[in-house]
Amino acid sequence: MKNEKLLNAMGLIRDELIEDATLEKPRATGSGKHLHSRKILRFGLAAVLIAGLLGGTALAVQHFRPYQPFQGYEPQVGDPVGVVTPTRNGVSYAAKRHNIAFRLPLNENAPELIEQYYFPDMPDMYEHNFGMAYDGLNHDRLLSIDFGWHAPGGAKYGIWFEQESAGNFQGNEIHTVLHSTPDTEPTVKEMVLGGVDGLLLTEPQELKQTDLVPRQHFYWSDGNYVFHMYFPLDFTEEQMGEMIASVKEVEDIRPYLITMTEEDLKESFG
Amino acid sequence: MKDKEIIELYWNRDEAAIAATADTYGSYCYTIAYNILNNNEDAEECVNDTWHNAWNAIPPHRPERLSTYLGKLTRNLSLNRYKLQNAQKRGAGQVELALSELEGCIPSGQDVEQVLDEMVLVSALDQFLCAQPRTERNIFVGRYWYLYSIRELAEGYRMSESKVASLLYRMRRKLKLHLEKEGIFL
Repeated sequence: MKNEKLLNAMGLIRDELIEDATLEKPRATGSGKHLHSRKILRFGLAAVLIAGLLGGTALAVQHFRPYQPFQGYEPQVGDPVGVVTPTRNGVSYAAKRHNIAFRLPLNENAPELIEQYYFPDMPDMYEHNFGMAYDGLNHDRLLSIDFGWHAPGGAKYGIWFEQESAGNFQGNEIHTVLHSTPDTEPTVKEMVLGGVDGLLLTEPQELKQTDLVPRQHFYWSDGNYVFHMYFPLDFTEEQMGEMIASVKEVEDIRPYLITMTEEDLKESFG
Repeated sequence: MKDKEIIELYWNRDEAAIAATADTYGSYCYTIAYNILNNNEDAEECVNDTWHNAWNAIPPHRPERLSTYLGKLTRNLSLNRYKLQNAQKRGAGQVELALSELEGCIPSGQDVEQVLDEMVLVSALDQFLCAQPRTERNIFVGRYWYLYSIRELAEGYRMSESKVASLLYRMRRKLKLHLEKEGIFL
């Protein structure tokens, strides 16, 4: 039988995969919790640092997550992938090349809806938080949501909701990303690129082990808005600088930002 | 006792190797066997067969990871025993359930004839699993390698059973797409 063939083939997978999956190993121990706390603190400090440097954007980066993966996306040289809009309780951004209104635009009931339709037992998770993103030019308009949590065993996960193009919702394509081993934390440094002061976050190559494509992220602010662009790892500072300098106004990306109704969400998750 | 020391006992043809193996990996192998056979006596017999096979294979073999080496032996022995026992009757054990679930991973549209080398399939599975986030991967391996029940996985990962089932469903769907993408038709 074909499924027996598959079951037999499963028997021959790599040893490390088998070893890692045994339920007999201790998980989520007390010491692990402290490790989580340190990691959370570290991520939190990064957010505060960025908030402070960017000025007036503490709320905007409250739910900052350093990794913004694009599943299946192959960056091209010269391609500024995304720009972040200002937010009230989070950040949202659009990816120009893919014509993406990035992340799922939701309404104010988003957390409840997500728990109800997709993660009914989220309170059991080790720790979690929501990031809600608003349209910076119209703060009453919630654009998107992302969700992160720390799972037992030392992993930090983030999910987000992606839409490939306006009118073609794919909100049920949830991407789950493992990204908090010591080897997969980004390096952060202050940089001047394209005449702009900001922070450069460089993701390590180890992220290739996941679905992620490692990138370099550059964050800056003009005093009103937070901007974020990200690039392939092999982009030079000069190349990044040129691209950053080419980004002008938040209005550039407004056409990519869309809204979504509760009914749309129910339909997608139903 | 460390793996290296146990393996040395095997290589020295010291029967203490069996006791050391049973002491260190008895519970591990028993769990695997019991997940498959759902019967104490059968599981214990398979574990004993595992020690016997290991005794015959080491030397000349020198496993890099003794745990998974023994686990694989146990899994194979248990699955074989299961097949023999269930040639006539189909029970409601984890093997049947897992097999039934894995139907969903079999790519359709077999317009491309391909004689499938098992190792090609294994390689595709490795590739797929390595690309998955750790928890999802481990739950998938827990289900289809260790044959843990959904309930055991839910308890082990502190999730609801429905969530584990839903996660496995999505993984199977992804695996099917992956196999199709790789041009693998079972």
